[in-house]
Amino acid sequence: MIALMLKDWYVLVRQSKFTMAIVMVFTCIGFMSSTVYYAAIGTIVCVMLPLTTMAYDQMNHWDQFVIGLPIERKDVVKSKYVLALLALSVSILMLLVFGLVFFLLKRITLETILFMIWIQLFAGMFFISVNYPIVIKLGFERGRIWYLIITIPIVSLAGILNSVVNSNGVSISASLGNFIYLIIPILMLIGSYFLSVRFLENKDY
Amino acid sequence: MDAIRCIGLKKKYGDFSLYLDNFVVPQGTIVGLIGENGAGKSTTIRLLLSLTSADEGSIELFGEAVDRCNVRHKDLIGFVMEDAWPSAYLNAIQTGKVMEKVYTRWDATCYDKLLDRLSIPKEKLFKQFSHGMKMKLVLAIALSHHAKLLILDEPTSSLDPMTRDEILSILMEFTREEDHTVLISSHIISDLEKISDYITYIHQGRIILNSEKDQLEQDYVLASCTHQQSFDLDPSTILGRKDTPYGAKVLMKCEHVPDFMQRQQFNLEEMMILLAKGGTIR
Repeated sequence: MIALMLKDWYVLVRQSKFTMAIVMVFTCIGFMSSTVYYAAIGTIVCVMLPLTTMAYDQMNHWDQFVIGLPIERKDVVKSKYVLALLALSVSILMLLVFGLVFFLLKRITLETILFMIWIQLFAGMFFISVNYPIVIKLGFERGRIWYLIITIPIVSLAGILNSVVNSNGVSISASLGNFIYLIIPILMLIGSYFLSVRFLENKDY
Repeated sequence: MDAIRCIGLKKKYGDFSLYLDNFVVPQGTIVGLIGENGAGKSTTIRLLLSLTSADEGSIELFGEAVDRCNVRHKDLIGFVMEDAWPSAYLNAIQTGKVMEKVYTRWDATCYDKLLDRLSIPKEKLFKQFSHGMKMKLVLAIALSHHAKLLILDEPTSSLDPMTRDEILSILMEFTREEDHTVLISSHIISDLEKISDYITYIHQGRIILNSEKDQLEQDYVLASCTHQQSFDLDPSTILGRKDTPYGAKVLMKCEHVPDFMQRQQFNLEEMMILLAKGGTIR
């Protein structure tokens, strides 16, 4: 699995500098406007990176090459999920760094930062859980249609909720108790991983 | 011991079905796999590398039955396949570093020497390579982890004659070790004639010929005669025929050739074409 992570690392370093800049911009805008929506977009862009590597793999036939190597198929899936979680961690780290800066500037409260982290974890894991099995099963070309069908309504809903919350003057707040709800995307993520393994193990090239 | 043995192996794709019963690649030999497009050569190779699963039957590698997840055996196999490439966004050095973590017996020195020998650029990205250069890099990978078995699907296609010759030399060097085996498919039959010990001919998903290459020349004959004489031959003895304006060329087993027929030299390519026609008159 380390070999696969190393390969994706080389690919991401070469291909994703611009994407990381976008993530930083969205996270920054999120804090400047105290809008969770932008921060969530930053997260989704971040966890899209491993999905992008899957697209590159399929476009350039690495996905077939790797099956000929002495690597178990479940390790191929595992590497993508680990990479996705690493990407999610990077986006959370960025959020923390920006959050602390804005907190020190007295622009936001610690509760807002906590809430944003909660939303990011939820959105990120949900996105990974839904999209990764689809792309593994159908390939990126066909899978991206489903990806759009699923992602656009979720992002739109998040935007609508955000504007409703803002327009009604409800303050953004969170307590540590809210994190218990993360059990839902965590369970989804575990289920999604096993589903993806099953899809790849039954896949014929 | 056999490096590869396929027993009752079946795979069906729509109208096409592949059936390999007792297909054997003896250890220490080079076996050339020939056949027209869509005959089942690539499917055979995909089955051997577990890229696709068989509907029925089993595969043995080095005397052991393999399952779909044959990681241990794949560590001993080097491969080249038409639609399977290393990552497009890595250069040869980075690809080597990745492979070092994939294969337990990766030999970085050997890889580096092969990059030099095959004139493969080390810093250039794989996606910027020509098709021939891509093929050379994949071959370098296949040859750099002390594999016991090479499974090569069209490794010399799109290579210039000089490089092809170099690749064939490398393959012959590889089989100097007595337990090293090569299964190679190619449309460039002259390449296979140069290096193969055995020839396996797949036609419409079935093996119609599997023989030692030298034995082929002893067992089969390309004989010519007039059209009328050819119609008088026993049809069951005709393995393939081609009609020309000057007469008929007929592929037969040596013992079936009548005295009035003129025996000719033939090569594998002619034999393949005649066998594919299977006795039909054009």
